[in-house]
Amino acid sequence: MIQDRHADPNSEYDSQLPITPTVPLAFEARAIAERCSRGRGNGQQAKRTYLNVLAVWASEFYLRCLGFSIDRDRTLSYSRFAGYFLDTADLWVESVGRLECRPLMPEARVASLPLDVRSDRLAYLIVELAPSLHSATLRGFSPTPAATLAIDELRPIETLPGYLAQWRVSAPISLSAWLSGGAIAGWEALENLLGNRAQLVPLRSQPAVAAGIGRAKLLDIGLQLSDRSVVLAIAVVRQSDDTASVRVQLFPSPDEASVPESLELSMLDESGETLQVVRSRQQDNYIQLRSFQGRCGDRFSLEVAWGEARVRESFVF
Amino acid sequence: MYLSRLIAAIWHSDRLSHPQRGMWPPELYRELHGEAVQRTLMEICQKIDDYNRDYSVLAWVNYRLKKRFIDVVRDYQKKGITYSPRSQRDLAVSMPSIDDLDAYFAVEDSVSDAQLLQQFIDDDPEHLFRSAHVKNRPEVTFQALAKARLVEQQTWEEIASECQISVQTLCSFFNRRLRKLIPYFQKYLQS
Repeated sequence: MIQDRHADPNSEYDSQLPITPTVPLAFEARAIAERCSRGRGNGQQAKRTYLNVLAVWASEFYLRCLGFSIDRDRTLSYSRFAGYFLDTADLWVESVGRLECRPLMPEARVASLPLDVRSDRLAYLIVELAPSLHSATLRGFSPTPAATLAIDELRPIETLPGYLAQWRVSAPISLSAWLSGGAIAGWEALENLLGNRAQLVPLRSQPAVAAGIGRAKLLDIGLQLSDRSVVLAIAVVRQSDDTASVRVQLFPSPDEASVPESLELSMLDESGETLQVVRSRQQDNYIQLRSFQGRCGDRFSLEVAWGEARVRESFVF
Repeated sequence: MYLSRLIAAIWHSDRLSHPQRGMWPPELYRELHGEAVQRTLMEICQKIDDYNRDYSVLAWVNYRLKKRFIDVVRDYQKKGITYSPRSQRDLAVSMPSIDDLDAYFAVEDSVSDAQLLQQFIDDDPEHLFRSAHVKNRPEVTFQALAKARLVEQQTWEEIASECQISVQTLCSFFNRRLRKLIPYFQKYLQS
């Protein structure tokens, strides 16, 4: 664990330094930026890519210092091709997802986000480049996109690790294990959490080869002042030796009558792409996704989102 | 986050050691030193548990910095660059500033491997560009969008207006498909 250096009598630096980490940009950063921008055929695009990559590299360096792993192969910014189509400065953080790391010109107070990148990213970091391009300073981040982001309104960089942690995909829950009678902490039989409200409609058409299993989990979701709970319920029915059918419903917590309004329940594939999403209205007793099937080994996640708060559970057939 | 302060402190410190300073031309030294500081930062973050409170932070950092500097010099020399006090051409990698960039990339306007890319998008040997399309709009294929961006240089608003689809839907579709198609590009275009 990191020791508290404020208590260290040998502390030889000023603890009042601003917490906007400045990352040196040396050979590796420059070499990568060069490789990504050469041969573009358009001076303005090449310049744009060069600056984007430096901002991404600085963010990568910082996140790696904090113990995150980066997947460069899934990062569009580092590919030679993406820049031809998109003004992207994305970064793929392993087990978490995609971030955007926009470069900011020296002393600018507002960053702009091109249309290309205002979706499919978990957070937007703003990275101010030094005029010499020998260093870059991470100014802060925003969890949501907008046409422009004011530097003064960004969240402090030191809250980024905590923010990313809520997205971290834990080990997926095995549906096969459930079907074989296994138990996972936190997940209970439907009746325990839903009582007589369990309205999981029998899965249609295919006759079940073996009896299905229903499990539910109480999820805490919400921001500090308005914590709510909901019950995520899943029914799994084996269809054949290696396929199963899944139905997902979301209920209010046992002591409430309806699901919070404007809550979203989504099903995502392995790469994080949303395959289904349903949104609650006022006074919904429950909401549900269309049932879906999978083969042994297929992975998916379920995400419950309410405002900025999110909970994600991942599964494998 | 405590590490942020540490990184900032080290980077801004004027008490970092400067090994071998007299042996290198200033411009080059600056890059070598910068690279060494960076490697040291990464190392410190990864080995923070090794820090012994009996020693000062700075002494610990400088000790590691000296070793990393030697590594940087060795890596640099492996690239076959010779030392010459008068020339900045010794730098293995160019270091343009923001103001230098317009001139630095001016040559780009006459060089391009966009031709190859355009050809590949048209050929689409495995039909992946053609078969990916926006939901319920089979004519709005990834191929069509890629060409609109690459060849026509259209903005997303222009494309959205022509297709009668929201910018959001188009960008979202394009981002996701592109992510999955990068291996396809690499397979045929990697040189």
